[in-house]
Amino acid sequence: MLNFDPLEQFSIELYSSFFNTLGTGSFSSIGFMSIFVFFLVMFCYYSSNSVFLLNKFQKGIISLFQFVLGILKDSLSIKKYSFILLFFSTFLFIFISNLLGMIPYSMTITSHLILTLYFSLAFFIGNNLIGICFHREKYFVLFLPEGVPTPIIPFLILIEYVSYISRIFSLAIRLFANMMSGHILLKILISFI
Amino acid sequence: MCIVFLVIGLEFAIAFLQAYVFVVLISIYLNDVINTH
Repeated sequence: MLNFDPLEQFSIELYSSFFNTLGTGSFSSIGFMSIFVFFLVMFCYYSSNSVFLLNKFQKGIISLFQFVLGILKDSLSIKKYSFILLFFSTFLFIFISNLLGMIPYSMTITSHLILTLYFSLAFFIGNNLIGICFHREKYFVLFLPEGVPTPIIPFLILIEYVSYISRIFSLAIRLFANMMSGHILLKILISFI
Repeated sequence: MCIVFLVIGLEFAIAFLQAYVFVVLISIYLNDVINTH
């Protein structure tokens, strides 16, 4: 192994780009893989959405659906099927893109911080919008726990705010770091053979 | 050779686990927002 670089597998190949007065844009391997995984998620969802006899693949998708539904029932205590499509498609997207990354010479899109940060930021903004729709101006009570003595309140609001913001980065960096470290480990181990 | 296959199996487990953890955490954050006090 003369020129061995474990980080080479994460390089993004640029397929096409444009820079003009209207704006800039590019289409790279990360965009291609995201669109591919999106179509796979669509395929998984709509293929198991049939009234006929199901084969093993469709039964597997349905058991995954039940699994995500169980998670939502445990933690999210509102109506029975609310938000299930959002969470199920998120689950399938991350799971399928992780699995596709295990194919040699393929690409793991979840090992890029830009994609995971995009995911967690989108959910952060969506959470805020949902909270404002549900509670209107009472939503900002979120930053103030109950039964707090008055002099501590400003500090407590600051701390709650920081923890609320840092959720975005903790969510994004957990997924990104796990996938990246796993793939680097695999590459180094395989190079020993 | 054996350890490589072991790590590959571990990697598949991680692939599932990370998706699971992501969905669980997002649902917990959404629950925090919806059921404030």
